[in-house]
Amino acid sequence: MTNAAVEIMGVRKSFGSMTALEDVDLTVADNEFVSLLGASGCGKSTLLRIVAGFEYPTSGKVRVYGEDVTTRPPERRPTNLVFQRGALFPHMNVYDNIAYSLKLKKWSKKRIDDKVEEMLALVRLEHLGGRGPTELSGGQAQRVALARALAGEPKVLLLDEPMSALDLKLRQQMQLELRAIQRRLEATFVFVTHDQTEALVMSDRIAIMNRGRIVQVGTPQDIYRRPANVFVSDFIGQTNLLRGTVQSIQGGVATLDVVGTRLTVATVTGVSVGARAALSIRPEAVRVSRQESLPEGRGVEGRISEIIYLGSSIRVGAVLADGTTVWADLRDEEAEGLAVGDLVKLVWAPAAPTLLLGDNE
Amino acid sequence: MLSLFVLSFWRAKGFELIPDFTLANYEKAVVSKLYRTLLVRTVLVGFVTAAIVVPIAFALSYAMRFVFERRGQLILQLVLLSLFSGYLVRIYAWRTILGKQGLLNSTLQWLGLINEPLEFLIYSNIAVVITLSGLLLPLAVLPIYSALLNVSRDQMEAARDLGAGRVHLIRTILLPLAMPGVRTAFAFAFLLAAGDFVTPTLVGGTQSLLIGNIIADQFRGIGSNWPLGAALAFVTIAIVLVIYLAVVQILARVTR
Ligand SMILES: Nc1ncnc2c1ncn2[C@@H]1O[C@H](COP(=O)(O)OP(=O)(O)OP(=O)(O)O)[C@@H](O)[C@H]1O
Ligand SMILES: [Mg+2]
Repeated sequence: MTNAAVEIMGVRKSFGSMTALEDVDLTVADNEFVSLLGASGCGKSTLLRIVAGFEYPTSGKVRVYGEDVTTRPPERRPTNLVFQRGALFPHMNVYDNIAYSLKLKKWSKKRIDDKVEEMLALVRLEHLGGRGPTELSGGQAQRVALARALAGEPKVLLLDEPMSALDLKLRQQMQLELRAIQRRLEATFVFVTHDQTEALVMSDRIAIMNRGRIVQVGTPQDIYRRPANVFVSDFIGQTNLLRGTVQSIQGGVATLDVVGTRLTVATVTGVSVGARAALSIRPEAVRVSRQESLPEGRGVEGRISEIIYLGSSIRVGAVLADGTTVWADLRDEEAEGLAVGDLVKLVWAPAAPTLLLGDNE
Repeated sequence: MLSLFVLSFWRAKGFELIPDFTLANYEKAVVSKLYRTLLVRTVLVGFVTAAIVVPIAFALSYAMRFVFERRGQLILQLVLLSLFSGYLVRIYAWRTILGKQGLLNSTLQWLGLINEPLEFLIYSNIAVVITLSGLLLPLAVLPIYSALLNVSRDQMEAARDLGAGRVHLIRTILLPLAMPGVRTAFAFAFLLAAGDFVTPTLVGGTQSLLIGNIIADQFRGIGSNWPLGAALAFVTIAIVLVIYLAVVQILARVTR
């Protein structure tokens, strides 16, 4: 690959007997915004710190724009890291924090002044250069941390949950700003988060991690519509999982037996007859019907157990014979007349479900 | 303290103290050749001791904080424990290390690095400085270590990430943030070394008496002269204070 910004090749990392990363491969393209998404403790920060140079991999390699940096210390890497809690230098004001790396690079006073001013404008804190770090709000402090990391013009910017300490409103606003800054600078960002919405909103591609491995890499649409396995589909957004056994595979269509009902779905590689698998269907793809007959292969029967008003939609839960609850998000008029205790059919379009090989049943 | 200050303007006649307002004691303290030599030596010994102790204490504190991390607390306990082992005991311990047949000399001889014992290791100014450094090191570690507890690992990593090598990291981040502790440690080491009079008598030679010895003599036994002792003490304190303030200024300048 010629335009690869970061190449992580076969990286493993152990802390004593604990393995934090197992054989991770990931390539980030030039100008790309990639998120590492996963639950707490799955190894996101460890992977980012290996790219930054704070940890060295037990085995494997890291390249940045073609250069092998695997054993290089952080001060000599063309990457900068934005820390979760800013880590501003408390004995320096905002200006000096941002100018820190530029002074180390021995830039001229004039050039530093111009750059700091440009950075302050970028993060919209034009008049705060003289403030001390303790005189900033949480959001302002993170903006300064971002400006400080970007000032030295790193080839790759690494961000480790930089907004996790901010409240929701501010976080949403900063997500959009951060994305805009990345586009404007045409920079390469690698962003760590455990918040799936954040990853979906900002990323060109998302790498989903679980227990030290990357389990799927793809665009937000890919990952949302075509999750690679049960873990991903469960992790990204709400989903209904109907578990069953594969009965037959014919003409690209697999038939599953789920609680005595035969359901059909486009097959994927690696599925075999008799295997345990799951059908994943998003709640917004499920409709509730009172008709007598069940459409062939794309509906199940259940009894309504819950009706929840969500504002823009109504979420209806129905329990199947085996106790599984299937959720459907309906518009107001679709939910009219439904009541808890009703026996209904839950149906969906033929293309709606995805077949998943279970990896954590 | 105040009464001592007042006393320094009195006169002593035989064993009697006569209230007065005279600068004679101060004049004597500054003009007398003996006292001047002792003052200069004391300030030098104190300064050199502090200049040795503070960097070592900084390095130790750094290691405790960032290399040993959690075990650093354990080392701290040991440091505290050593402070309780008693001042005189520790001076005698240094005597057995530095003596003519002491640990250091016999080790060096055994290694074949020297043929004759190094004479200057005991009963000399060097012996005084080494012993005082050993005595004061634990005391200097405490304030520096506690100041370093306020520096987070994130801040250190951020500095390195932004391009700071080891020297810059210490100069631009660690020292400024640990400065209150460094100042306290320097003051401790300097003042206590300059005020000590036990160490010189036990490990020092004839040429290593400090002003503290003379001051102590002025307060006891025959030929004592309290007003003169008080004046000498205040001159010492004044000089130490001026040098201390100068050092603080220089440190602040360097780490800006
Ligand atoms: N320095 C270390 N020594 C020992 N174990 C470590 C070290 N750093 C991380 N780990 C372990 O490695 C695993 C992955 O940690 P990591 O910090 O990468 O997780 P994470 O995905 O960033 O989680 P979070 O969302 O909570 O920040 C964890 O089990 C953690 O305990
Ligand atoms: Mg983390």
